[in-house]
Amino acid sequence: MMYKPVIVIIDDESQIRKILRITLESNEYKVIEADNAKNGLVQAATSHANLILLDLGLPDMDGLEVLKEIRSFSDVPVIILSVRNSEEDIVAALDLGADDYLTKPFNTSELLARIRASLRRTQQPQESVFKNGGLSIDFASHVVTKDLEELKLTNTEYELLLLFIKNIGKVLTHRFILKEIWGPSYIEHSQYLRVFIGQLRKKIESNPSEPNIILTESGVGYRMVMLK
Amino acid sequence: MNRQKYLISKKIFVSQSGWMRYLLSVIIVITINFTCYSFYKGIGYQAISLLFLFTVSLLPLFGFGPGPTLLAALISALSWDYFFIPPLYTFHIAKIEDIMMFVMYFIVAFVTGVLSARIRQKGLIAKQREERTNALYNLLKELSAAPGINEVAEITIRNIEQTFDVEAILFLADKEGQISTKQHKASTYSIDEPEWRVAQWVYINGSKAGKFTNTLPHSSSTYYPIASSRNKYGAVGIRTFNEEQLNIDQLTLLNAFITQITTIVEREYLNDLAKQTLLIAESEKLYKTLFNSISHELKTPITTIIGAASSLSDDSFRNDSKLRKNLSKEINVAAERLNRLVENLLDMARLESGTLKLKLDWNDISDLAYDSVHRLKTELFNHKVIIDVGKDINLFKFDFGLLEQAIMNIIHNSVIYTPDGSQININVKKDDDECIITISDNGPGFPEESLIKLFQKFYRIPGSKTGGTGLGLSIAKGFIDAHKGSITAENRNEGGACFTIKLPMLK
Repeated sequence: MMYKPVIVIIDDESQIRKILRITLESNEYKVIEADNAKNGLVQAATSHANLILLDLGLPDMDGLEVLKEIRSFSDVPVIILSVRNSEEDIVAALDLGADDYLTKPFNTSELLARIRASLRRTQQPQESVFKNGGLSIDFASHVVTKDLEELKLTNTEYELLLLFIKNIGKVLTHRFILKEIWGPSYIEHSQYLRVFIGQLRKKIESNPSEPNIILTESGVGYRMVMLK
Repeated sequence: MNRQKYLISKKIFVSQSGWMRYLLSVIIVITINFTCYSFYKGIGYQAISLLFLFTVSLLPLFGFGPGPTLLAALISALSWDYFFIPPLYTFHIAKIEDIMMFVMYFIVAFVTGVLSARIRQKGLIAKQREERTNALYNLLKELSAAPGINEVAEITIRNIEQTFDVEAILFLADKEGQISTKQHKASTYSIDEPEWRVAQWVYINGSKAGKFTNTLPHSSSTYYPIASSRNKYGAVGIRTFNEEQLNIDQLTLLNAFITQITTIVEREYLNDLAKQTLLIAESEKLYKTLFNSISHELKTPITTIIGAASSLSDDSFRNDSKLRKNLSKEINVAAERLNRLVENLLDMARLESGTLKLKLDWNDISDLAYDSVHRLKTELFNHKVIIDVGKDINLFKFDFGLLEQAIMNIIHNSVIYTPDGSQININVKKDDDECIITISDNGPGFPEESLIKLFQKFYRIPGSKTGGTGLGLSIAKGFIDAHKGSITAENRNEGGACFTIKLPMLK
């Protein structure tokens, strides 16, 4: 029998669970449903899930609390399902260790892409050279090239790029990036981040004003995507 | 502090106008008398009479009434006779011309004194009248500029307090015609329950009562109704500091005050009534528009979804993969439309609820422009978009999510109202400390008469194709206003619509 990744869906809306189950099962995933936070936590702890889809609006518990509990015993990738206009909750969830988010309504191809990306990250072997489109980074020699031409990156730009590569496909919040690159006392200085993202884009993107490698996630953060 | 000073100066004034003035006039005459006595030998006793006359006629100018002036005339006549007219130190007058002079002196002093005292008093009355007119005029001026009933109450109390030097308390009636149990917050003192009953009685019966009246005279204050022939609006109470009744002039003025106050309070009540009526009419209209437009907007996509979904489950279509694909596409389009409507309604609700909070953060406006277009790429499939962002625009603070929604709504609007193949230009430039975003197209532009209504809720240009609620632009305006910015729409000279957004570049 073929190995099927297990996905736990924690959502109180049966219709959403149903459509997710149909979509996921037809894409070779095993699905376990939970209709409230309590069941969800039990399933997350016992079912050896490979990924959890967590709705933030649950009837019995705040979704952020559920996420906190899950993170207390497991590093399993968690994708947050939420409604629009709740950027604050999304940012809070990402800062609490969620891997990604989707705002309802979402289309299933987007969902499947996010699930694949999250699962891939967990089993990603560390290679010595990273390639994304025309961009190539040699981790050993720190050489970054675009279309075979070497780029001159400052230390900060290089660290920023590494951070994105390490979390490829994952949305990184402003706070997270600021903390990782500049340190915890800089988390409010978002203007640094904008300036450096702009500089980095100028160097690595083929059209810096229409970026397709480092994307802006409005009100939340940035995400590096894998070019096909 | 001020009040106390005012009271003290008033007290001196009051006691001076009593027996002190008589005493003072006597002292003045005696002083003149002795001064003259020391040197009269050089000038003769007739000249002394002129000095006395001079003094007596001056007295009224310094605020002495007819009584003290008359007393001064009498005493000066007698002392002139006693000390200066020979034979000295008797009241006897020897010469006939001296007797004549004495009598004439007395009459002239009397007439001068009393007449000038009268003139002065007339002047005082005129001044008082002017003060009253001024007080009334000030009250009227302030009241007519008052924007609401609370300001009217505050002005009323302050003016009564200052003009009459009393404490004032005000009770207003509510919409149900019940007098408030609590005094208006501008009142300068508060009262207990039995005292409130007096105010209530005054309000209900529409006539004055309380202290210094025949009704309930044991109360601590006097209450006057605020009522017109049409309606009753409340009651005002006054309490004097010295437990004395206001004089007749003051009472007349107070009545004039209350008449004016009543007129203004009535105006405020009628205004309120008119506003409420208008509000009800507006909300009825809004409800109707909402109901019509939203029910249509909701039902169309739902009908499509139900129809397409039931066709999909129909066995006869099973093998027609092209048809199935088309049906799924229709479901998708309908669902997107439904989603946009719900988002618009939610945005509107956020704006209307007044709880909209900006999440200001340093952001790149060019990021915003490109991201908005990127997110609309499906809708913009048949349009050409040209983005031009000035190089000199630094980061500034704005709410990325809200502003992006506003820009997207405007771009979406351009897409709907221009034919396929049209071009949309997005221009961002800096002007001083403002960021100016223009979004223009080369479509048909706006009908002139629609320009002023574009940003109104639920307004749609007459004859627009279906699919839309007239919310998008009003939401955009709401979000831009929240940034203290502005948005205007106009027709370009070369044809096509143009929206101009001005944003302060917050640091």
